[in-house]
Amino acid sequence: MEWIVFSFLAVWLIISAMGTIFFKNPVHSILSFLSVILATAGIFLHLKAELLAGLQLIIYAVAIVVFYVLVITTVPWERVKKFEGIYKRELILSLPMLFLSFLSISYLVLKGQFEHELNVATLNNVKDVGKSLFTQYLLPFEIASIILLVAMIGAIILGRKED
Amino acid sequence: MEGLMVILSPLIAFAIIALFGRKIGDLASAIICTLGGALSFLFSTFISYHVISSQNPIHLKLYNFLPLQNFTLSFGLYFDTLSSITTSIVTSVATLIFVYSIGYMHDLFGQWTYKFYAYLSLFLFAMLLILLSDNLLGIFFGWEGVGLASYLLIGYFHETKKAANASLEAFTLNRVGDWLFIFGIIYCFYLFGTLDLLDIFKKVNEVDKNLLGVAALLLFGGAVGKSGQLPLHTWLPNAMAGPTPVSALLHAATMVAAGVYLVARVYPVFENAPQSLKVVALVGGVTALFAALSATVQTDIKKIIAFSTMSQLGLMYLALGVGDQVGAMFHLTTHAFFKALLFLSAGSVIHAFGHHVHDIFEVGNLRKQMPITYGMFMVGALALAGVFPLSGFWSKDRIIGSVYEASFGLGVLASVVSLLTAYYIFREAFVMFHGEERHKVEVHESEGVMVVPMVVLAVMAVGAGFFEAWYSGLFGAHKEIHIDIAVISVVVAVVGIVIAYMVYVRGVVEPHKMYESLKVVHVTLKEQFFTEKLYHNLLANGYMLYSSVLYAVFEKQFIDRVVESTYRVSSGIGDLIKSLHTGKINHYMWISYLGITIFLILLIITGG
Amino acid sequence: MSISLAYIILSIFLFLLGLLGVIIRKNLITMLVSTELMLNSANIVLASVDHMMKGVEGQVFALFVLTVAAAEVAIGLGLVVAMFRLKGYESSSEITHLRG
Repeated sequence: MEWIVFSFLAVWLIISAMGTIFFKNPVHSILSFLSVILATAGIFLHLKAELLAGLQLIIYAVAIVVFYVLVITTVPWERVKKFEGIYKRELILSLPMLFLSFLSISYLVLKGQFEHELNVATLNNVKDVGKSLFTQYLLPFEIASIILLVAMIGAIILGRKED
Repeated sequence: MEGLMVILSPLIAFAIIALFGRKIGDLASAIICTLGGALSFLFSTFISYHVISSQNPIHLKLYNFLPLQNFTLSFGLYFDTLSSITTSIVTSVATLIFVYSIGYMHDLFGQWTYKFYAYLSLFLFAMLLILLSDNLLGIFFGWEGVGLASYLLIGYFHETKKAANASLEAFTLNRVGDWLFIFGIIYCFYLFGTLDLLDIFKKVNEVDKNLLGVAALLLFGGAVGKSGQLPLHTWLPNAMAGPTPVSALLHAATMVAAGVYLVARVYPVFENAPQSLKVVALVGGVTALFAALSATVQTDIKKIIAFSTMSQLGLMYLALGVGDQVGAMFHLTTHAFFKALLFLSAGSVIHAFGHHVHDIFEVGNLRKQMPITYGMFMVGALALAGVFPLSGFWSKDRIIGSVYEASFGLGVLASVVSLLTAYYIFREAFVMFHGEERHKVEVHESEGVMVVPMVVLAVMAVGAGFFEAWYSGLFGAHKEIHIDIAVISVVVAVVGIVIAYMVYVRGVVEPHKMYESLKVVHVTLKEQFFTEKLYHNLLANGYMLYSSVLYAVFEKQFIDRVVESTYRVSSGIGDLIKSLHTGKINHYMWISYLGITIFLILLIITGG
Repeated sequence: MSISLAYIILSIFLFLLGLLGVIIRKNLITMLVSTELMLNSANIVLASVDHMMKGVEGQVFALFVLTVAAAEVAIGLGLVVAMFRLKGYESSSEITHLRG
């Protein structure tokens, strides 16, 4: 049963990821990316990371994708169309390299040992993660909020019209 | 201390003039230069007196400047009878000429003339180094120094192309001689393991005669270059483009005599290789005749005297070659006096005409206007011709006597040279000072500052001969006068004078018609048997041609290609690498990930 | 081979696809989207490792990655918009200032 789910999710993920990088039209690309996010959320669910799956849907599927679509609509369409598509030469050049590195990374991963078990996870994933986040990782959590604040201010300044 | 001062005073004068000449002015520079010479003269006289009276050479070791493993190259001064007396003579003549040059160069004051005096002081220093150095390398140092000073002084009027060319020619031909000289020095070091003159003289019997001959001939090559002997002679007549005091000092009295002095200095080397002496005699004899013949047809005031110098130097070499070292050195001494006197008188004439007259046929009947100069020139000419009892008679007679003793043929040659000498010098004297007045301008006798040195030199030129016995005695080489040869010499000299008198004063034959009828001979002699043309056309132009061929073939085709191809290769590589540097983010990503991939694969291969 | 390991391999593939997207896309916006793919693959790895080890640290880090992704999108898209507005660039081929 697990493997069937895995295969389904994997095929979905790969096809939509392919779509993301190969679709000519940026809008199609973004839509395909949305599909990738959904598949990823499914994977998270399958890996019993429910909180992550939910946040993935909220942050990525709603916030980020909407942001992309917004930006695409602000730039003039004809200019965006002008630079559609991909560099063919670079594609041919990078395929063997990526294939090689895929093989080598996979080899390293499969050869590696994952024996260490933490055994802190319980059935309630949200509670576990929340507890860990607000006790052990409180400082990084706060820093993350500052990062977001800085990013927001930066985005506002960058997007501001020059006077 | 006194020994050091002899050589240092001109050097200090040079340093002062070179550094502050512009500030202190030309006249002050001239006076400093003269003072340097005069001080040097005083000290050297003192030292000579010391050395002669005590019969004990003074050897000053100054310092060791190149300690090698088993040999230390040192610098030192060596005062024996030969070097100290020659030093006194050189410094005295030099001082007199320095005084004279104040008057001669007076017109040019204000035109950076202090340089002239700086060069003169430098020259005197270098010359003293040749005379006094106790090793061959020190002599070589001075040798190059006088070469440099000679180059600078010949080319002093460098605005004129003639002077610039003459200085270049002098430098080039001297260089040929200097090459031989330095090879001689290297060879001596190879033979003896030392450059110290005294050590060389000690070991001179121990080495192979043939090898020694080679060393002697190489050293003699240097002397030939410096003395303007055949075949390195063409620079000496052309060197007359320099100011007259320079001609008098460098190219008559002292520098050119350095070659003779060198041979006399290392005479033990020559003595032990008798074959080399024959070469010396041959070169000297041929040059003497050659230069005397050329001198008979020259018309340049100074060139005649220059050829005469060559001829007299040839005689000195002849004397050295037949073994009369003392005779050669004594003739060098008297020659320094009367030849300097002749040059100064000639310079006085040139100066009177504002440095514009150079041909003897442009002037005439000057004896009325310049009586003192006339008298001085006559004294010099009589001394040069070897008329009794002037100094030239004693020294030349001694040489001719020695030559007759050695070989009758060479003796006849020396007599012929004497005849020609008397003829050409009186030809010049009679054309310039007698005959009709050919010049248009009014001229006056030169001022006192020029006349006094001339008078002093004239006294020396007259009187020096009487010291012959004393001089020979110092070297223990006393020689009785051969009365028969003396008589012959005087008769020969008088015959030469009479011929010149008949032709140029009495006008027995018309000289110009004679020249026309003997045109071939005349041109041949005037062109120095075409040697100058040969050198200029064949060697100089040949070298230029060779250079231009090399330039066209080797430089253009080979070196330039190599240089250009290095440029092409590097710029090609640059172009190749430049294409990687596109500025596109995509490419940079690709390349950086390529690096990561390579590291991953390396990690796996090395057993990660 | 456990399911988590299979997901790790899958995430490697996804990462490389994202990288391929960065390398080959002409449009700046789609290049940014490709980086999002790479970030997602990192999240999958973190989640799978958590699943394998029965821990929660991976998910905590995945949350931070989400944060960074959000910030990156905000800044990145802001830059793209600003660049377009000021210079009129829309394609990576036009940005060659790195060449100097």
